[in-house]
Amino acid sequence: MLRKYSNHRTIQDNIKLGALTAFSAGMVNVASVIVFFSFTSNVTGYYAIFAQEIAKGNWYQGAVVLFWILLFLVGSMLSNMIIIHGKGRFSTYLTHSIPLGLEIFSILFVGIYLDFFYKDSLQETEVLVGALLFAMGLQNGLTATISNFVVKTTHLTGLTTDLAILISMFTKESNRHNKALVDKFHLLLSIVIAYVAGGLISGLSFAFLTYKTFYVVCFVLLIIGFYDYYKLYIIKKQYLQRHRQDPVSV
Amino acid sequence: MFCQIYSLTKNGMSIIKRKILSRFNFIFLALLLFVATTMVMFYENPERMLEGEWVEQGWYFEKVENNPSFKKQAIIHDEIKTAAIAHLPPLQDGLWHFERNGNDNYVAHHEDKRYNWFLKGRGHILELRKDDKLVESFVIHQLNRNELILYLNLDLQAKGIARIVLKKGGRVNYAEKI
Repeated sequence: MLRKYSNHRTIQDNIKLGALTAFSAGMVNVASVIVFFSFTSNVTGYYAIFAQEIAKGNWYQGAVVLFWILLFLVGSMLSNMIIIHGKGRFSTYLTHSIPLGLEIFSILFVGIYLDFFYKDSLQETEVLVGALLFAMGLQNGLTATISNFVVKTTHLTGLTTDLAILISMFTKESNRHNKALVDKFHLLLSIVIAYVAGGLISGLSFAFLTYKTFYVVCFVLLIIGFYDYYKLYIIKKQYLQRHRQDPVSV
Repeated sequence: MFCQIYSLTKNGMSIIKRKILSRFNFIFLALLLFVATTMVMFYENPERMLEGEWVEQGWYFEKVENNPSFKKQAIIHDEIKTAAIAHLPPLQDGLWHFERNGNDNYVAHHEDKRYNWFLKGRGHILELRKDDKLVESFVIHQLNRNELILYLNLDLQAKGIARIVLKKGGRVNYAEKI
């Protein structure tokens, strides 16, 4: 999922990455709506709210929304910067894992803070929502960068448009046999389903786990991180085994 | 300044020097982040603004569903109002008092101090809880030093949204009013 870059990625790589990250984004979004009354996986609505608050003369609320939008932006920017500047210096897997690690750290911070220190004050809420938006920015920046802008998982506006276009295109016989279009359709559909499933599971699990739901999100993200680590470990092990058994061929 | 930012190309078109633009992006972004963070930290926040005593000015219908015979902005019948806040004893006398004592936010002016208030989102949701369980939530439509306008979903005798208008004032103003 993480060790391949851009055009080297297969559709299976993108589906796995897209589905798992969309699942975690759906979970984060629903949990944050329950706890904070604020969406944290997209910023489209916040642009409108920002304009509305400024128009109403609510400078404080306008500043809060601007703060959130900027944190999402900084998260996405940081993710891309780590990847493009880390290329050639570190392994692809390590470079791609750093934004994911930062995302896990941000969500874990929110989970731990809620669990042990949260006093329900407005300022705490604003900072914690900001931390989650930063995490979602990191995730979106990561998936978009490594998949060559094919996979975006934290919001579904553009994805719904693409899906609608594909559904329309499939009304023509020739498009139904176009592998690239069919693959894209499968990718988009898996992202939508995973996002909704993540939201659903988050909503249900919140009743039992409350703030610990954020730890479950971290666990899902850890699966993404360690999946490739495991794959690389297996490949390395197999390679070494093969060459130990057959030293002549080396 | 503009001479530095813009340079004239051979074909006469002006383009932004990319290196300067790239630096400008970072400076602009850092500046915006600094302004937003400073405002969030030091500007008078809705929690502080809400603290104190608020006197009810009236309850109005903002929207009524499936009942065109109701007029918009009609004053809510006392019976409906009473039913809407039957579960909120501290608010029944028309004086809403939001008190804060350290980390404890409670609805005062009532013998029962178990009712707490919290602001959520960007300060646009007012939650009232009793023993840490949600009792009612209002959408804050407007909040300034003198006026507070809340929206409450009604689903009792009449379906719709109630607009509650409150003015900042103490016990003295309230006594004068009644």
